[in-house]
Amino acid sequence: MQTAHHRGSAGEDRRRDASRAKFNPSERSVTTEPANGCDSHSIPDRTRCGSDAVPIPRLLDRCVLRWVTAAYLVYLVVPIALLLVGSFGELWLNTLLPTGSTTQWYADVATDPSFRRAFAASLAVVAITCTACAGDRACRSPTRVFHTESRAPACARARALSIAGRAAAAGAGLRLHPRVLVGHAAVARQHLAARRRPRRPHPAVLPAGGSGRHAASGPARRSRTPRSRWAATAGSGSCTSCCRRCAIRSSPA
Amino acid sequence: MHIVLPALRHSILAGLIIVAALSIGEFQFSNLVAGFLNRTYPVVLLQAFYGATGFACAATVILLALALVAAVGGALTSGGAMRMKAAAA
Repeated sequence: MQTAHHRGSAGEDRRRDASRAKFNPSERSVTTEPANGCDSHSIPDRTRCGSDAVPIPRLLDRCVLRWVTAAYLVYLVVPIALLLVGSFGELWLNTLLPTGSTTQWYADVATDPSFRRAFAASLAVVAITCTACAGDRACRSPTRVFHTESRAPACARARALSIAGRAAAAGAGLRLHPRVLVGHAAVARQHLAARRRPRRPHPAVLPAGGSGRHAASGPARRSRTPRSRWAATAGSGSCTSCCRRCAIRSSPA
Repeated sequence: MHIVLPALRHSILAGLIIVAALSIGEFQFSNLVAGFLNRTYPVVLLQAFYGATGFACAATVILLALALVAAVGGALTSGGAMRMKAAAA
């Protein structure tokens, strides 16, 4: 046992020495290169200048790799091109390319009931996922879609519909719910429009002069952006008639 | 309920996205999970390749065109979102 152990340890030592000897040149180049630079004569020529140390000829680097890339791109594109050719070809039987041209196959796909049903199922999955993500994203920034007129954040409806979308996706399987989908689309459109619209305070506080800012127009550092251009003309009137959030945040400066 | 669901929100959304991507991208799990009446598009497409070649090619071209549209739309939307973020900063 002892001799075997001794032999094993000696083998390990030999292996370690060999690996150390193998990695020695690279270690030396790494440690000496930053101090002496590429022109130092103390470093062997083989490890002197970075990429030149790799013994790849420039011919291989420029020509062959380019051809390999081109061949691989052709290998990727040819099946798609053959799909296009085959979808417009009339008959493809024991020939290299199809004979004749027709759009009958597309009409067949459009009228096939199983394909229509499968398309609707896949579209429902994607639509429910997208609307759930959009509703969640809108809920993370509720101040952007705050409705001053209705005194309620529009996020509440989006949150309800988002939860409904998740429930529909999780519980009801792939059954279609047109009303839920239509509601999702409407709320998503509303959110997108509210995000594009510049934040405008209530008209009741606009004409009052002064240097104050409306609470709904955002922080002061954003006054130069075109999104909050209404803040420059907004007065410091008391906006208790506007909404509860303004009454809380606005200060009589 | 009010704490656990918001805490799990990102995980639920990530699961939704992965399930949607799997249901569009491959047919093996979809074929296992989906019932006969709720087959997704790739499952039906796989079975179409046992029939007429032109029919299956046309259905695949439709799927490829939709994927291209989605990729271009995603690229444009991300560019717009980055511009909006840069304008807000």
